[in-house]
Amino acid sequence: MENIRKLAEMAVEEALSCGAETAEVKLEEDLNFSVNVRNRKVETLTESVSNRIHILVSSDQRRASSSSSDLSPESIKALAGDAVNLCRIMEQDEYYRLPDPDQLGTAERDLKLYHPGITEMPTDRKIRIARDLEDMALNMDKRILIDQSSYSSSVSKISIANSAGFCDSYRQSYNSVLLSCAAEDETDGKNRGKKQSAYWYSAGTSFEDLKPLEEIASEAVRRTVRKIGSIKPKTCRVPVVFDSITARGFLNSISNAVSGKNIYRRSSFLAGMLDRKIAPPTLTVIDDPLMPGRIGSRPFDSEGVISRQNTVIGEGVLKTYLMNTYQANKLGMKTTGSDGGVSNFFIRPGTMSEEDIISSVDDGLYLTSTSGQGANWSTGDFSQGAEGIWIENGTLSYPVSGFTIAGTFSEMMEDIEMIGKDIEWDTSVVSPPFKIRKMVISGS
Amino acid sequence: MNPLPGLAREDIEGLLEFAISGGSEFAELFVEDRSSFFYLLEEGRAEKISSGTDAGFGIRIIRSGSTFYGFSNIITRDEMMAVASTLLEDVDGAGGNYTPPGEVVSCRGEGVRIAAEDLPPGEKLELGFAADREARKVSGDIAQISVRYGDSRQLVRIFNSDGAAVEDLRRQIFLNIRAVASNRKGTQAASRSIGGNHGFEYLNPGLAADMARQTAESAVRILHAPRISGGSMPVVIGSEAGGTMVHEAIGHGLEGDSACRGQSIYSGRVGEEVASGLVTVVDDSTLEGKRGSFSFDDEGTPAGRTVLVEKGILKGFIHSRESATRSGTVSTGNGRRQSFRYRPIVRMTNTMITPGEHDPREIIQSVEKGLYVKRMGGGQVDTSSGDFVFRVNEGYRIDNGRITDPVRGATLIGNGPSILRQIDMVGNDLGFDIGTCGKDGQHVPVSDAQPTIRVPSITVGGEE
Repeated sequence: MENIRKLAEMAVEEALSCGAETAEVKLEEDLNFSVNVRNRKVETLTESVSNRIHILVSSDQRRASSSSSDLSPESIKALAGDAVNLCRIMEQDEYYRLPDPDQLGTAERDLKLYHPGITEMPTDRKIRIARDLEDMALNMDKRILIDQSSYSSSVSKISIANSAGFCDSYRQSYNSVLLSCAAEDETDGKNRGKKQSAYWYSAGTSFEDLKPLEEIASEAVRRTVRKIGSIKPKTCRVPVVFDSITARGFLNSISNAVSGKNIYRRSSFLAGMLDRKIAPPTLTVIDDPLMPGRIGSRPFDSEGVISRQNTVIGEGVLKTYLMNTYQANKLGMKTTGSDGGVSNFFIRPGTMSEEDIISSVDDGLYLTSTSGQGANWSTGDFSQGAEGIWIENGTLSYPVSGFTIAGTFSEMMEDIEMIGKDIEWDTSVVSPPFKIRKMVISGS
Repeated sequence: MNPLPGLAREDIEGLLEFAISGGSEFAELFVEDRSSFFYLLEEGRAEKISSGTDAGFGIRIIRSGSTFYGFSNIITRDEMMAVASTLLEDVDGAGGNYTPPGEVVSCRGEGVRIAAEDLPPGEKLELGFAADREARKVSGDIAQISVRYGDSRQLVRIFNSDGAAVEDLRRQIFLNIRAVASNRKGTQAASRSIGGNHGFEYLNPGLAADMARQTAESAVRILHAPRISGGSMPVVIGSEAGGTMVHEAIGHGLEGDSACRGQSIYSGRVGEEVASGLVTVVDDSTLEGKRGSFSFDDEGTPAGRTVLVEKGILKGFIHSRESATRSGTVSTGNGRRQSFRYRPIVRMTNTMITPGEHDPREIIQSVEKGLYVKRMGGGQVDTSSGDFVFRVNEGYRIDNGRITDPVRGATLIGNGPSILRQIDMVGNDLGFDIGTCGKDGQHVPVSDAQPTIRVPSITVGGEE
């Protein structure tokens, strides 16, 4: 850790001595492992060391960046020189400034981001995890074929330094297991010869965060076999229940729509909507980098701005965008410590179980997967290929596929009716399931 | 010729011999040196400019059918031996043949006249300024123009235990223009990209300006277009739409890795009729200057042209060494990787439906009421079922055999194999589009192409 902090500091000094007025450096060292098992045998196994240094310099309000995988002092020197040279052809940009010194800093709370158990675990144990997961799924249902059964882990060291005097680093561990299954669809009619597939996974900063393998296997199997015999639904307008996976996809678009970059470029349907009511009071969306042990947590952002919790949507009202210093300057606001993207971005859980939400629907869709790139947060149009289970009289009835669901983000936000109570904290953008009052389904 | 600066031939031979010791079937060293330059121009100003280098090696060992892969940034003999040792700890087994690498066969991009890396960045910026000026003239509705330019130089060297020793220098250049049009009613965007394995002579300010004008005109047209009403209808996909459809709806299903695992809808179906007799599908990495072209793939196999579907009959799959071994055949030169950080997997290169016999005008005239797709947007396909969804970026209504009003918000929903069987007219034209294809977390440059084609009925998603 001491080593990468020193290198980052040295890179800042090199840039200044090459003629830069300001310099920012991000240095990253990653150790990665992954294993994928098929038919009880290792199919692929990867181990690696990876380095990256990124230097951003400015001079006379002109800025440029350069990056390299070579962390030797000679290379860092050359890199700093390259960036300073590129600066000269840039236009002046009055909005680019380093963060104010009083915004820089490291959160004091122990974020519990590094768990040495992940690096200490022997390789054969990691292989066994993937093997056991495959075995469990194969024994659960004769129809199941395995596409992928894998375990992966990583440890990253990140160091940030700038010429405003900030220099600090942290370590973060991560591991995940994933099982992806398929099953032949032998149903008579259009599905014959078609394969249905689905996956389930678990991830966290420590091995103890992972769900029991038995649970992952049974969920992956359940999600696969329940798609067998799917039909195309009729074109209609009905309530749609988003499961935790599709809810996260929706929230991911929202995270892009509130990003300062898309706001100042006016390529977000939420541009100009600050302090306006955009959703019912039951909807609160938070970005919180200070949650101990969570995947998206960090003590400071990629500019060295100290981490803090941001309420993005508070009881239905758009409270803030998520910005770094440059975006904030463009918008005449203050950085939210969001350089490098969202941290733990989530919808505050409500009180209902997923079953309760489903049982509130007489005739509607339980949405389990979306596809295509038709979730356009820039224009606000939403039109995606979809799969799910049809809900009849409050219960999941039969699988549906080969249709689209469409609407606009604004309407969908206003129409969020019920928010579930359970969140799976296995990526940085997570959401409980929720229901949208009505959406257009284009099928047959 | 010295195979690698700082490394003697004995070092590479010693490494491969060590890696194959104790019973591996195959060992390989992949060394890469890449430099790249990129800028983003927005609102007429250079918004972002960067240069970078990336270098490292990857060692692959195959034993009893399992692949072990390790990589590092530090290109020294000691580091290579250390990575190989770590990988050997993870394996057990016996038996392997070793042929030392032969003389290095070198391809160093002879077709390139002006190497982009030799030019000052200011000259490259001129393209962006020319595009920006021209696009803004189109309409007062143009809210934003962004221009992305990138060039890269990638030198790869591959040595393996079967005696291969090759080096391939690849240059990529691309220009992307995105226009956003906006009025009180809303915002719409259009985008165009060109690029390939070329020197800087491929681009010039006049070309950038033409492309920018067309892009801006599209954005404005879509902005003023009504939303399409959904339903099933005949669809004509113009050659300008490029081959997103062939890439997504068929190409991924013809990749040998998913095919030999039984994950593709086409698994085990060679010799069967899988498409209309008008359809021939080819993957060709030998085309000069295309974005998916190279001299050797990332496993050292020479580039090739593979006929996948001929007049509707499935002929075969594209393969890497690994998928070929599993399927009892030989590599088609489709083993590619994003960088030394990844093991090679089966990838498309330049994939196309080859031209047919119909005049494109005749194809449009044959449709009474339907949709004409001029530019396709992004798409996604489930390879196990062949189900796909594509966004139409620029679409028009066809009324009584004529292209009429633009429509927005259309998506095409269907099943690749069934659309292929339905194609009933294939034009004598051919249009290319470029892209970056993602698979298993790896991104590689590709191009796709198709003639104008007619499908009698596709589900078109839109408004109720």
